[in-house]
Amino acid sequence: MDINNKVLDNPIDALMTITLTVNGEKIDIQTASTEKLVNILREQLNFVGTKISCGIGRCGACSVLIDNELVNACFVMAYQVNGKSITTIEGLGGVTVDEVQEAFLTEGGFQCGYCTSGMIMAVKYLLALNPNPSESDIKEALAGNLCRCTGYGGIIRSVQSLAAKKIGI
Amino acid sequence: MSNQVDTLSAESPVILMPTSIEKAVELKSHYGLNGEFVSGATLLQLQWLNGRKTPEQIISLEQLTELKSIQFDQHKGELSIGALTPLGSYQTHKILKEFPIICTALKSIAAPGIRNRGTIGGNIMGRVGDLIPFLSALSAKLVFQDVKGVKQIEIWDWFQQTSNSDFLLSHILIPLDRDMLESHTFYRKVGRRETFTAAILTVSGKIKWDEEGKIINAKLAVGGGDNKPMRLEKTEQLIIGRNAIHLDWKTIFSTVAEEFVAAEDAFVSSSYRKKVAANLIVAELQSQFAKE
Ligand SMILES: Cc1cc2nc3c(=O)[nH]c(=O)nc-3n(C[C@H](O)[C@H](O)[C@H](O)COP(=O)(O)OP(=O)(O)OC[C@H]3O[C@@H](n4cnc5c(N)ncnc54)[C@H](O)[C@@H]3O)c2cc1C
Ligand code: FES
Ligand code: FES
Repeated sequence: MDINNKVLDNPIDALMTITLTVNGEKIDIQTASTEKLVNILREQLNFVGTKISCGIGRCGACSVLIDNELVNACFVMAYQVNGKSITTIEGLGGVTVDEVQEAFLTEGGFQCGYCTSGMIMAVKYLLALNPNPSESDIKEALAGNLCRCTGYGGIIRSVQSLAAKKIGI
Repeated sequence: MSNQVDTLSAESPVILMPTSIEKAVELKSHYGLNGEFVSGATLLQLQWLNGRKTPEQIISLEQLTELKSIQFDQHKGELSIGALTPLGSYQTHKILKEFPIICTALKSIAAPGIRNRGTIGGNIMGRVGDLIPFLSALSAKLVFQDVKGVKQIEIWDWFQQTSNSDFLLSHILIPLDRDMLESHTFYRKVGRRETFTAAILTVSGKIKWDEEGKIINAKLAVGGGDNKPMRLEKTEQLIIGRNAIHLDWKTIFSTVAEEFVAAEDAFVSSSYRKKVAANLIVAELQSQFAKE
């Protein structure tokens, strides 16, 4: 290794090409190394279902999954997602809506809908780890997702209804 | 108008991704202040947005898989946690799940999305994290490496020294009891909405006593939010050597309140924080000793 010439194990320049798989599709992108994932998704790839609110990791509107783990896309940089698989709200369901989306529709889990895509990604992550969460598990899992409208009652009910269906009660 | 999150600067840093600790410390030694170790970058991105200079070189540690190992050495009675372990690992890691107090502390930091990116090492090395007072109470040791070699130091001794940013934190060693003494370990965090505002404070402690109820060892620490992490050494001295049934709660309360250098802001006064810390510590001690 010659550090003066920056010949490294993984030489990456300031403007870099990254390869991502977004909702199952492999994509190469040229970007600044510290570009935020949420900007790449919304501006370069037009996945505008992922929202931006605080931009500093505190509201959860930009929640997506990276390799099936929940993250705030406004706080993940381009170089950190090179080679990773991203799931956004657009990647859920298919021809019909996903079961979590369905539960939010049935139980009144949203009003204006701005927080909803982030909430749904957080619920997907919760149910993958724990298919039968208690109310306190649900509150803990959604602690990073703020909603200005619903008062959270409908959101918690949506998750509970889904958990009840899954375990057959 | 397009809705975008600010990227750090027009001139983005060069990303260096060493695949061994030796290469990482060599790079740091070469670039000095122009290169910065980066783990999850959850603290650094906040600091960069708040005006801290972004480095010319990011030395990303994320490929150093050896920094992600977690092991419990039964023989030594020691838990070893790799610095790159994400805060959220308590949910899935078999060994961490066996230590509920560690899970409680990790679970109290930020929210799930940030915990999946932020690391235990980054929390410590940022010098403001909630884990510093907690691990000080547990007498944890830090294992550092630089180009000259490896060294171990108790976290509280390290925290009191001026920082040397050339050291890479590789592991955190937490001693777990092998003696027959009774002990009580606690961690409490007080805040408004944990993920939206910084903590008002955290208190942590580990107390050990013998079969006669004499307190043999006590480590108490406070921190969290804008409070600089600190050990409550006067309060520790006050209770060590005492028999638990003779503890003077009023003096313990006033000593904690007196020695805690608590932050003050527009929402929470310093005297309120002192009272909360003193109440919590007294309540934790009473939970063990005021029963009979
Ligand atoms: C919304 C939000 C909420 C938060 N809430 C909390 C909270 O409740 N409590 C809390 O304590 N923190 C909180 N944080 C701060 C942060 O997320 C955590 O402290 C986290 O653990 C930092 O880890 P990291 O891997 O992201 O560190 P980084 O940002 O990568 O690094 C932090 C510092 O440590 C250095 N560093 C990192 N790893 C190493 C290493 N192995 N060796 C040497 N130096 C290293 C870096 O150079 C840098 O100076 C919050 C952050 C956000 C965005
Ligand atoms: S926009 Fe990402 S957490 Fe608020
Ligand atoms: S439904 Fe409007 S912010 Fe949640």
